[in-house]
Amino acid sequence: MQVILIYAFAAAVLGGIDSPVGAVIGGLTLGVTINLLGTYAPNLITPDMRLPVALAILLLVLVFRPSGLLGRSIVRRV
Amino acid sequence: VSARRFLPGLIGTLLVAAVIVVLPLFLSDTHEYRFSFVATFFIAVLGLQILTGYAGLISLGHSGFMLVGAYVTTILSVDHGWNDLATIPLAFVIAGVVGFLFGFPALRLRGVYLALATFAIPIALIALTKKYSGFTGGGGGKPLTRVLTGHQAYVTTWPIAGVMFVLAWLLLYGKLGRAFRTIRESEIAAVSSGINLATTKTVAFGISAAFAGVAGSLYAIIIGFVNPDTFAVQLSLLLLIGVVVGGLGSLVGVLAGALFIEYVPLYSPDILSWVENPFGSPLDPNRAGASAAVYGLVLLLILFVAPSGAAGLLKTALKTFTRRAYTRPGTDSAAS
Repeated sequence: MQVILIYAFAAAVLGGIDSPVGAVIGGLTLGVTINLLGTYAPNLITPDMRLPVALAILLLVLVFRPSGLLGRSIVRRV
Repeated sequence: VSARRFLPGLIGTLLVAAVIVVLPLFLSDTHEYRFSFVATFFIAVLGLQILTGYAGLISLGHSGFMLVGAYVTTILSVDHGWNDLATIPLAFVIAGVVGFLFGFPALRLRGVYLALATFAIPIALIALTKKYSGFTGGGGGKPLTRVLTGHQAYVTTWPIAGVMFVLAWLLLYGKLGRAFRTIRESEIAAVSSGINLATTKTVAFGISAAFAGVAGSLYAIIIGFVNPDTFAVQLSLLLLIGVVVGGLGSLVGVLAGALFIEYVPLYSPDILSWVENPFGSPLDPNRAGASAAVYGLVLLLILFVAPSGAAGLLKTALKTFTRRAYTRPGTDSAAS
């Protein structure tokens, strides 16, 4: 349960947390990226390391593009 | 700040401290050992209280910061020959730095999303620990250099817990603590009062993680063995339960929260065996999940009786007394 939840949240943030289409794109992007990394860098990205990669992607998206791929950026008026 | 405002709290703290000092005289070695776990949970709950109770930021990642502290102690004392107690300040600093760094991406998130992102910290750190097994000992764990008796564990952990409590108190009732509480109540009000939101939030994360690091370090010392799976997300959830049971935004109940974490799972099979099921036969306490269910029920019951935790309960209990003490006779009807 935990594992799916983390992947799902990372995918949702990657696609844009308020965008349904973004969720699909984010999910596919995340899943394919992690599996490609696992195939081409098997020494670095062992099966145990998939979750940390998902977390790293999540953190990178939050730092550099908080609205995700398709989400709208939220501007709060003060 | 008037001395009178802090006097009841000071007296209460000194009373509890006195009880903790005297307690080893009455406890067996096993129970002293158990009580030293209460001290480590006390420190961890204190840290989470700073973040969740005071700054209003939720974290399910504190078991990850505990893991950092535990491994700082283990690696330095086993592989580099440090005295294990001397590693505690370093565990404080390193876990604090990790928490501070995590604070930056966490600035973008609030509420449930922050909970989910922090949820990944322990999971990722456990995976990393297992991967670099040459450095950390891997999934099988790593023994420390010495094993403490119950009494040694007690006299090691509680003084440190006391120091951490004083530290937390000094932090929270100064300028920084006021900034934390303002952020919790209203970010807009905080910014317009000249509080730097980003800095204050990351500092809250850092301090909180540093406390968790000390807790993790002590946890490793008193068990004498570290295993990455000890620090799974479940431990974070327990710490959060400890904060809620103690009462959010108050240092009064932290000890109650720590006691809850250590003792309720231990006694829930006993609680179950007292309760007869309505159809006559007692429930089987050994059935899988039975004690977890009782634990959940006890937690729910506590939240019904004391929705604001042990601190709220104590406040209500003291109210009747303080109202009488602070009302002059014959001035108004509030005393009646």
